[in-house]
Formats: sequence, structure tokens, C-alpha cells
Amino acid sequence: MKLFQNIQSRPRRMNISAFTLIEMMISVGIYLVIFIGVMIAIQIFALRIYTIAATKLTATADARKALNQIRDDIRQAKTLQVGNLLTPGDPTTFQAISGNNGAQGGALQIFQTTNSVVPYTTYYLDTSVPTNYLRAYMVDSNSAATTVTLVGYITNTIVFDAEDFQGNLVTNNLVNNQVYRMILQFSQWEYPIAFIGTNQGLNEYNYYQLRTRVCRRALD
Amino acid sequence: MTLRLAQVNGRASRAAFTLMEILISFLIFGMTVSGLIYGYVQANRMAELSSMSLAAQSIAQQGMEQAISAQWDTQMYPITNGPGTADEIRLYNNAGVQTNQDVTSHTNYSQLDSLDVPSTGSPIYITNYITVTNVSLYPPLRQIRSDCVWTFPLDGKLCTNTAITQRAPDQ
Repeated sequence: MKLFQNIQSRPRRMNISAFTLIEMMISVGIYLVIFIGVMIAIQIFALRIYTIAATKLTATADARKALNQIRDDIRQAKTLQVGNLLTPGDPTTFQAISGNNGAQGGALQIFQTTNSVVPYTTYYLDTSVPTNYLRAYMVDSNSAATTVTLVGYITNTIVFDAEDFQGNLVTNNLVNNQVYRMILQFSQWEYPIAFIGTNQGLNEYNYYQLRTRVCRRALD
Repeated sequence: MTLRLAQVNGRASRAAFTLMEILISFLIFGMTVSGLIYGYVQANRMAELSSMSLAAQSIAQQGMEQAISAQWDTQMYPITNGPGTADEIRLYNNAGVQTNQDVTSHTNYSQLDSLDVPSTGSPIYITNYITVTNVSLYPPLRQIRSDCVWTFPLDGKLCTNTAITQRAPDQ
């Protein structure tokens, strides 16, 4: 590259033939080493940046998908009951919180009508396995049941509760216009190849939580 | 390029690239590389902003759902309002008088919370401003607006995520 017009008038260069083959090979070799080194370093840097972002995004993606499914079910529901499973892992043993007790527990039963009959869905925390899965137990109108695992590695036992519009805990009594709150607290390392910070990053992002509140649309 | 294998010794008097040429070539190379790095960093920044925005939208949605769940029964007599009554959200008209029977009636309140994003360090605090406004009295219709205001930690800019809906009275 020539910066100035008079560079070409330099007398010394006029009678020079060119670089030798050796000079060119060495210079091209050095250039390639530097260029490839820099490009690889950039790519590694980019991969690391990508991994950090992927860790943050994928960590919550599955859980948000599960919350979306429960949110849709609650919105179109008619009857909801918060309760617990009498036998861990067995959704047929669901028992609703009764009386004047605050409606909070590890399971939520959703009916499409005011009658507590099929079809219905029970979302429950399965504590019978070490990884504490949140599962959906769906019973169709023919009483055929299907169980789907939504998300795992949940640490909190109270996942569902019913609140009033000010955030106070209320009962399962249908007189209330409950807003149902779901809290999922996770202890999980979603993306183990990401090493961030000290201790090889193994303690990074291993705890996080997701919350949502949903209200029935057909309010009484 | 000319092959001069036999005349290597004669290059002592030849000129080469000038210092300025070398510096400028390095400058151009450096600008190219820094552009690439900036692109990667910017992409990561956008991903982070996106995850926080999603969490903020969830908070705004929660504020809206809470307001929707408030009891609003227009058929109950006598007309009452306040928590635990037939119309749980108290509204005020433009003159500041508490009445739910004015088309200008409205109210607003705020909630403090934090974003649900996986992160280290201190949580990202938000303020959720919820506004309930009468849209019409006949038929009765209200608008519920929830504005979640939060600060993007990487540049300190204020961001707002909004959820708006309208609701009819309880059936």
C-alpha cells in the first residue's frame, strides 16, 4: 500500500527486482502462522462466549416450556385444587388441602368443569426419585392415563399455592378468585462444558428459580 | 515476483516495506479482528438482554394476572369496594374521589421483585407498576396494565416490559 504520491519516486526502489522466493515463503509462512493463530484464538473466544450465553438460555428454556403448559391448563380450567400426594410419585393418591388451611403443596389438580370427574390433569412433584421431577398425570375422558415428565432437578417441595390479588395465601374454597403461583427452584448444571470463573465454573448457575402466577379466565 | 536464488547476497541495498506501511497493515488487521470480537460480544449481549427481557415480561404478566384475579362483581348490592368485597380494587376518579362508578376512575400501585434469570452476584431488581382503568361503565370493562421496569446491568439503561389486557366483571 502506498500512502503518498512521492513514494514511487524513491530512486532506490526503481532498480530493485523483487523479493526472492525464500523471502516470500518465509514472510508468507510467518503471516499464515500469525493469521491462523489469531483466527483460532477468535474462534475459541467466540465458542466460549456462545457457551456462556447458551448456558444462561437453555437453563431456563425447558422449565419455561413446562410453565407455559401449566399456564394454559389453568387459564382454561374451571376447578383447581392444590394439594399433595399421600404416596410420593403416585398421582392417584392426590389429596387437596381442605378446610381453612392455606392452599399450598406439591401438586395441582385441574378439572375442565365444576365436577371433579374425568378428564383432568394432575401436575405433581415426584419426590420418589432423587432428581425430583415435575410430572403431568393426564387422564382423558375414557379414564386412560398418561404421565409426562416436564422438568427435573427441583429442590423446593411447595411448588403450587393459591393467592388472592394481593399475594396473600388463600384456601381452595372456590368463593375466592385465586391466582395460582408456581415456583420451581432448580439445582442443576445444564451445560457442563461451560467453565466460568473459579473452581472450573462448576458452581456457576447451579441454582435458579422460575415463578409465574396464573388466574382462571372463567372467573365466578 | 522474480526468482533470484543466485543473487540473495545482493539485497543489502534494497528497500523493504516502510514502518508506516507495516503499522498501517497492522492497524487494518487489528480493526478487522476487533470487529469480529465486537460482533461476538454483541451477540452475547443481545442473548443476555433477551433472557432478561423474557423474565421481565413474565413479571409483568404476573402483575396483570394478580389484578385480573381481584373480585369484581357488578351485580352485588349494595356496591362496595376494597379487599374482600364485591369489587376488590379501589378506583379513584380524576378529581381524586374514590369511586368505581366513574368512567375516568383508575388506580395504580407498584410491586418490588427480582428477575428470574440464572446469574451470579446480586439479583436484578425490578419495579412493577400496575394500573387499572375503567374503559367503560356500560358495558363494564376495565383495562389492566402492568409495566415492569428494570435496569440492564451491562449498560445501566432502563428497560420496560408491558402486559396489557381488558377484563369484564366476574360472571
